[in-house]
Amino acid sequence: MNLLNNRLTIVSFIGRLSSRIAIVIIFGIFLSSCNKLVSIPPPTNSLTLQTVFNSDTTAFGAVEAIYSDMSSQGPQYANSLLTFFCGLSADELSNGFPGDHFFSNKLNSNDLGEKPFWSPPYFDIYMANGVLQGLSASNSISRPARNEIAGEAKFFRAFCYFYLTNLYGDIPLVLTTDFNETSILPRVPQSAVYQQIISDLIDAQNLLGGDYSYSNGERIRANRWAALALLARTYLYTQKWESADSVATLIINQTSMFSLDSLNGVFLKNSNEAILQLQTPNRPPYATREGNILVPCDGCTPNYYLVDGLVNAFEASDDRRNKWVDSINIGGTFYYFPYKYKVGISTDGNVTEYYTLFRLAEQYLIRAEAETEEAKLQQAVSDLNVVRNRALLSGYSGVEQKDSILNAIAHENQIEFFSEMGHRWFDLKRTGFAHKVLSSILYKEPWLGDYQLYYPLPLVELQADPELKQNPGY
Amino acid sequence: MDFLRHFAPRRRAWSNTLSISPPPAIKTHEPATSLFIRTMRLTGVLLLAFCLHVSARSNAQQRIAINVKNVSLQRLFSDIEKKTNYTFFYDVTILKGTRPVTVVFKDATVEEVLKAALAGQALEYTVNDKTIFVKRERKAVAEAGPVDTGGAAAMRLRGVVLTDAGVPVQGANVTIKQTEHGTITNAKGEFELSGVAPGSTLIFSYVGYAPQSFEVKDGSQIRVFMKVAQNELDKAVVQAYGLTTQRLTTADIGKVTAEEIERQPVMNPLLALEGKVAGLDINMTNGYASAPIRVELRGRATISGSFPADPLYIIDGVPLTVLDPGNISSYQTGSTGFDQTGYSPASGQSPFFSINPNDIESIEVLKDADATAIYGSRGANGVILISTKKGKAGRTVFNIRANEGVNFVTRHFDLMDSREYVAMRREALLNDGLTADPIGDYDVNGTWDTTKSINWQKVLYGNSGRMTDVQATISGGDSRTTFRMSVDFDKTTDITTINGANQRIAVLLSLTHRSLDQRLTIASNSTYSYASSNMSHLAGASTIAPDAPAIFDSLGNLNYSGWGGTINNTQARNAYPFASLRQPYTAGTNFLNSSLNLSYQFIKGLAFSTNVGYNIARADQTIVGPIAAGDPLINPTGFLILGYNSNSNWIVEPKITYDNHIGKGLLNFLIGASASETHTEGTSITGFGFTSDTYIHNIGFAPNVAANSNTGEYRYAGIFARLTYNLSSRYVINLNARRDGSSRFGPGKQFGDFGSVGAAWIMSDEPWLNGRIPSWISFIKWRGSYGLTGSDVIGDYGYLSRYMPYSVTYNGTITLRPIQAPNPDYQWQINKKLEAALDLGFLHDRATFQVAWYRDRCGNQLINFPTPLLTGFASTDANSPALVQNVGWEVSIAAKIIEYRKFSWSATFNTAINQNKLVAYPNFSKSPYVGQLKIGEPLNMLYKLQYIGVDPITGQFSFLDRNHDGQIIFAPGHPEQGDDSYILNLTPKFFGGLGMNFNYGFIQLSLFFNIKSQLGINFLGIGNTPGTRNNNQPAGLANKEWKRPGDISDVARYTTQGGNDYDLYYGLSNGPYSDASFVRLSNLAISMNLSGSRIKKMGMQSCSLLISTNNLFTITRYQGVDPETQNFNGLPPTRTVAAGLNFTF
Repeated sequence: MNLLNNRLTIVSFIGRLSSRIAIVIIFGIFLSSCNKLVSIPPPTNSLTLQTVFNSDTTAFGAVEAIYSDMSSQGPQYANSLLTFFCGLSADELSNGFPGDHFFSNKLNSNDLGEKPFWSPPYFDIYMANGVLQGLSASNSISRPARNEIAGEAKFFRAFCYFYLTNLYGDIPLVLTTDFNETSILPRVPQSAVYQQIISDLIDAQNLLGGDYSYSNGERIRANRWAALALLARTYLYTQKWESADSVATLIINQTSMFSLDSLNGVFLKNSNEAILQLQTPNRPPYATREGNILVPCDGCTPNYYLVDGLVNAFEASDDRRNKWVDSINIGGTFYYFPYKYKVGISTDGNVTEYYTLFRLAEQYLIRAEAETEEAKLQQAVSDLNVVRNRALLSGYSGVEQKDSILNAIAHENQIEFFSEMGHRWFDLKRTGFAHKVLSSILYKEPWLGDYQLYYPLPLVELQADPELKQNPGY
Repeated sequence: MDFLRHFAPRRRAWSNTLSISPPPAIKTHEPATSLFIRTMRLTGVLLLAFCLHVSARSNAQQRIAINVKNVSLQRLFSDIEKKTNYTFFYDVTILKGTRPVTVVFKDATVEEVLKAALAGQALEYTVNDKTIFVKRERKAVAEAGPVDTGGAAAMRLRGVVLTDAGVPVQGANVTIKQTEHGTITNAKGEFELSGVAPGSTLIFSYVGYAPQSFEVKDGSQIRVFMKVAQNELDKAVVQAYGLTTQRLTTADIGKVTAEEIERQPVMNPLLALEGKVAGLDINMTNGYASAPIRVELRGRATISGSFPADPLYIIDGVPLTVLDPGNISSYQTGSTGFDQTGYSPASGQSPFFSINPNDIESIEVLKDADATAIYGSRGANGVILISTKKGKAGRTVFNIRANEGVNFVTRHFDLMDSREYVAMRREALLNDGLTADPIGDYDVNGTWDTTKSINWQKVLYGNSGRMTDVQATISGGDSRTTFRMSVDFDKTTDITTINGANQRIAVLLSLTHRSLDQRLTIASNSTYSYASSNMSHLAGASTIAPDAPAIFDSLGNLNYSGWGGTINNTQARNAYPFASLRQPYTAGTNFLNSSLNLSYQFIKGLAFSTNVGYNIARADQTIVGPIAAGDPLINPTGFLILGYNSNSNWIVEPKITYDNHIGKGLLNFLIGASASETHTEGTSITGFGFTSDTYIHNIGFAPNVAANSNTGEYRYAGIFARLTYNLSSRYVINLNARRDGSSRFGPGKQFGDFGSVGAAWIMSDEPWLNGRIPSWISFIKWRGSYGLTGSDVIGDYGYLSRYMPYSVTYNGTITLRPIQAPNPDYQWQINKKLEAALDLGFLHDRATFQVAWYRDRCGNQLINFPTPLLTGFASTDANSPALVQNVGWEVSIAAKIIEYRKFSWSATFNTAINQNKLVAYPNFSKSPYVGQLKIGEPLNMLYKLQYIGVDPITGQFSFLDRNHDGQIIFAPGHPEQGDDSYILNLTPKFFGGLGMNFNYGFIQLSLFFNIKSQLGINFLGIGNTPGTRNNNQPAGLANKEWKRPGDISDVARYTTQGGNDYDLYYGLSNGPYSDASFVRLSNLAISMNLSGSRIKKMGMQSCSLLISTNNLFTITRYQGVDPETQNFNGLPPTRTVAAGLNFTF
């Protein structure tokens, strides 16, 4: 009995002891190492901001992401959509749907639900802002790389704002990545946006180099000249004629680097005329999206074709009518389509055309327009003729008078830059001719109002940002 | 099989001859206990004998004629043995003192004979296979021999509590009724109680067993056999870290049994839950067997639409957590599960597709704070506990079952034929003043042959599929070791154009072992399954124009050229949607879930246990896109997509439990800790640019390769404690506390404290109530709980600024793009849950009724806070100030309506009404939810224009001009400006289930109806405007449309202008929303259980035939294909009819 009692006591003692030990162990482990148990290593499939801006290579990767976003395989504003939709909105393209809201200029506030022109440029702006913030927080990036990266980021911020403000008018100006600050931004006047664009571009052209060494000679990264090309365009749009003139001159004078190419050579990669191109991804279809979508397959109707008004606008013997326009006969009807980018499908490693964002011809026309406004009419005509002559056209033969020359330049812009990133659409708007030209086109009637010249803001955006107001009219 | 014969072949008296291992005897120091020991030995033998037949269910149905007068029982038994093929098995000593019997029957079952013969003899019998065991009636039995008299007033009692199968009951409660003092049993089931007055009554109770009472006459040793409860209120219910019963629990726990799950011919066990538990909303997302299932308990808690509302799933103690590192899941679609790459035609893969429903013993749904708080934050959305089947002590049982069935579509929705369709299109063009575009209007411009008509629903999913399910199980064991093994093969083929199949093979192994001294218990459960799917995306939609050319040309190739017509119409060719039919998808998933539970009892009532669990799923997918699938005119290239997903969880949970009788009640105390980790990974590799199909299966030959990888890591740790005190079996209080840490929060924000209090009052047991309530009310219980649970349901790493390589390089370098807007500041979500409930039992609990009221409030919500896109991202993880409330009533009723020996009828019913409301949102007018949500309204609301009919003048839809400004404006975000303030509520009004079971002899019929009352988007809301290109419309619209001014019609003028314009905003109005309520006969099953002598002669114990169906019919007024999926592009739920056989040996 004693023995048993002893045993029971021992058992219960051991029991109690071990339970205490166990409790101590449990709490010991779990309390002391709780922090360890719930902390996880950084994700292995991604990099944190700190690691990205620890080395030149990864920091370059962050800024190059802007390029790859714009030229990516999918439809993007910079690689096709500006051309298509703004082409429909203006008097250039048709997609065969008379009821298409872009084509008939009857957008409503529910359109652009896909927001192709709003969120992608703002995402690119986020990347640019992120790069600028990452750089300023890092000490481990070399000085030249720092300049290059900051310059490119500022260039692209300006680039995106340029298109945003021309598509939407007044827009919010986002200059940081902090959502606490940016999620309640109101729209600011277009003039403030242009101010920011100009200041960013002036910074950029100071920071960036004057060659293409960062892209091994390929004209696929923004350099000083790209920044100046956009700056010249911005001055033109803001009617700062003198500045536009002088900046364009800087570029035109770089004759060793830039010269007008043959018509069939303009959109080839690294053409002499290109100031900035976007590299076409070496991915199926191994061709630009513009070529891929615009050039129809054999016997197929084109996805987009030129409206009669544009086909008829070409002067007889204009070589661009031969080289940059092609047609296909479907059941007895001819469909004319843009043929600037000629390759619809290619093969691995054989990309021949790049998306051409800035080219020299534009600088001639910018300068011609600025000069006209500055009353330097002769110089203007001579610049205009540079572009005309390349198209095998004779020189300007009209009267040497401001309005006439401006009309000729506008016409030249229409023909030279048709179906190129909304060039015509923006020209119509900035020159004030949009109403006159568009409202009388049969397929755009009835003209709902000039409010259609700015696209409606995406609805989700109005919901997400209480400070944001829709463009009037929508 | 029957190894009983091995040691007792046809032997009647055996108590002296058997020598088996010493039976577990109470360690006693008293001498002269030979009788006791003998008894115990006997018990031991009985234990062994009986533990071998617990699975016996059949009664002695064989019919005999018998006529004996005044014979001993021994004689009677031997007579019956001669007349039947039964053998009797008993200890001769028990017949001592029995009366001789007279039995006269002409035609009676053996059962009836025995009943008559043993009446009043203090004997009982059980039948197992061909053996009839006769034993002493298993009431608590007092053995002779006082142990400790300790005076006349109070005695010291000893005894042992055993289960029916003879397994010692650890922790059983022994209470003296009069004084309410008591004790609990130790590891061997033994107890010792002092201060027992003669004449007092002892109450023995244990979770899952019917309580027993015993009147103390003297200080004899007591031996109690507990029987498994048959009463709904006393059946065991699994709760967090333990067991409870509906009678005693303070929590709200719904239970679905194996029986209910097995009846339904579905591959995914979650589908068997639909309608079964009040408040648990289960939604099929599409008709594929492996498709994800959307699960929501008690309404939508957060305003975030980005995270699934899934409860926490725990299988045998191991959480089945799947992260979503790629952010491809959402509230609306549910979790994509094991498919992290998003390539599955079923839009994901339910993790439960890897689990064999037939291996599940029970599924418990924990609903309120009291039930879930111990899981801390992970329990905020409720918890679903899945317990797999375990072996049972007894005869080794071999079971084989096979089911074979067919699947076909549940219902069709009539659409226009070509004649009606073309007429509609022409009228639409005419209305718009247009002529058919030679390119764009390919459906009516001659490109397509308008004299042909195809019913696309039939073509796309009009085939029949097959379902096969074969399972073999072996289980058994003894009082110390039990096992169960099963292997199951399940296959369902699709009803789509190109038949694919979803199949699974699953193996389960479960082992439990107790040490000789019963202190150590080891239990291990493992399930392994391999599931494979091969399917093709359900290409196209049932709304394709009926004159669209066939899918295949005469050679069986994809019919691009047929679609393009003679002029190779590009737009028509581009509209050809069937490429994916030649781009097969295959997936294979290996899934292992394994848990090990060790438990050791140090001293009576104090035990240490630890649960270690692990599960891993590897799901690999392949999609092959051969060149042959593309349009030959555009020189397509081929592609190959490989997806690799893995998901693993481990968990360690050490615990200490202490149970004892303290004061007048029973105390259960649990303290434990938990650490777990989940790792989810998804990698997809896409190879493209293949210029030949011959080597397309080898990614190495792809000219271009892009890869994407998503990983997520989640760690979770906490300590928890629970204290339950049950006073006088009438008052129960339950306290839970937990401190939790989660890796989903940034540094400094990781820990949170949660807890709950629950209480129950079993009023019907109050002595003062005795006689004051009608006797047919047998049970009244009030129950309530309040608690705080958090939630960390948000993506992982949301506090970090992350960059990811982009798939396209630039300038030869890898580019890095940001993938989220970081926010280091967010912290725990707070869920406060309040519940009150009343449980009633009627007619000795033959009918039970439960009504529960709850109020769940969710604040400081963790959401994907919508940010304007101009910030760079559409959202960022953040806390929202919104306070959301779900208030609801849940009613569950179960009743055995008729209970005769030959015929019985039982029914269950449950329903739930939930009112969801945004209670508060500080500074709401400046929030991104203006125009989307409204304070005081449910979250699943929509702001819409109010449709008021078709204008007879214009033929356009017309809407209520709320602000009387003479125009209709839809201005989301600015309801004050627009007319879109009509509020639609898409939350189901109520839903529930009604089940019926009928037994007639050996035939059992069961029915289960799912009921749901809700609004849903109908055909007209899919966005296909009547009159637009290549969009077919309901046949019901034909010739009902407005044609000319003055026409009064519900159908607006046809128009080719689709989209939101749809005759000025029909799509933005409440017009296309209509009743989507339904009653679905989700299950009808008929089974016939044969157990007669013929079956026995064939060497079987029983044999049953089962005819089961799924979705047999749906009653609904819904204008569309299926009111549940509300989808015209996916595969609707299928109907299954299966027949099966089940043999038990």
